[in-house]
Amino acid sequence: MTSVDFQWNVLGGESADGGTRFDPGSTLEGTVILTPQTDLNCSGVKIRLEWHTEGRGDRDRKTAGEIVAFRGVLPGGQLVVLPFRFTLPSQPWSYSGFYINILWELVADVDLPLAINPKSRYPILLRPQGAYISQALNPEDRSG
Amino acid sequence: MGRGCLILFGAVWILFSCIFLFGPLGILLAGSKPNWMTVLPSALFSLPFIAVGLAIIAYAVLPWISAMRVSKPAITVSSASLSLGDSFTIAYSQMFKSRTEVKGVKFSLLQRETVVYQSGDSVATAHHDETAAEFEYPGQRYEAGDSLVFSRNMEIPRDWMHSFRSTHNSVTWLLQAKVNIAGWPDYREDFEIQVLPSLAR
Repeated sequence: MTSVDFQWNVLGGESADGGTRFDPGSTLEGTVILTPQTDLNCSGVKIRLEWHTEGRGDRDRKTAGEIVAFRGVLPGGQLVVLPFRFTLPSQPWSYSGFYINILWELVADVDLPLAINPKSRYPILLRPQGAYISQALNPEDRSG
Repeated sequence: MGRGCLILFGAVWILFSCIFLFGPLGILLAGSKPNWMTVLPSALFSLPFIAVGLAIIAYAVLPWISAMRVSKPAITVSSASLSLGDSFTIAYSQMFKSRTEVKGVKFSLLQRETVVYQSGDSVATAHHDETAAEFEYPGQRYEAGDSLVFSRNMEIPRDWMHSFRSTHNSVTWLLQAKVNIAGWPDYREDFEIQVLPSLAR
């Protein structure tokens, strides 16, 4: 299986409930650093901003933004720094309810032909300051 | 499932539950004397199933029965666009069609989660309500043509979720009125309000 190390560096935000909170409508920017173990000829490295639901209901998912941050050969053993910048939408806010959880995340997706795409997710909280946040975030989720 | 579907389902349920009654009934109609030691156990066996079918039909028609006494209420909210933390005024007006003894009216502001999920070969729906605020209006006797009219200030809690709707999951805000009528099924009315993804200043 193809292995890529991911390291997220997300700017701004505010520490809340074990995660990082961002205001709706604000700018979310930073870099994701990829370190492939071997040379990888990829169709593209996509960075997405998306939300999905978890809980009893069937899953809903929506991509709020997507950029193709890289195309070509990722050199093995070398760091590839990919910047990203998104404007966060006004809704839905991060939410933890009885049946429904709404989770926001950044996703880095290395698109490899005829192989399983290496991916990494970085959870964020989308909610204005002063609003209640009960969404649980697992720090382990931040690693690739 | 709609009320009509429930009634149909209840009727079909009863029809199939009556299958054990058809034998004795046929014998009686033919004028013969049935062997009760054989017929009675199977007839008794079907009775609980028939009761379940009747309960399903009763559940479906209860709202129609209660609506025979009271008209549909007019509910107005002072603002069409509410943010979390906003205060608002509701005005409630409901006319009675005949003399009615009302034990009380319970008015609730609810946040409802609704989820749709695959369950085996069918699609199921589940709800969960959380009460954000509620108050009770005292009961009294109403004559035909009388109206129950009141207004009240309420507030959307600041630390709750805004209205949200996607394909399989939704969060809705409801004003729910339950009119407790003496000797009659409760009348219930839900009125949805939109809560915007913003905080009141």
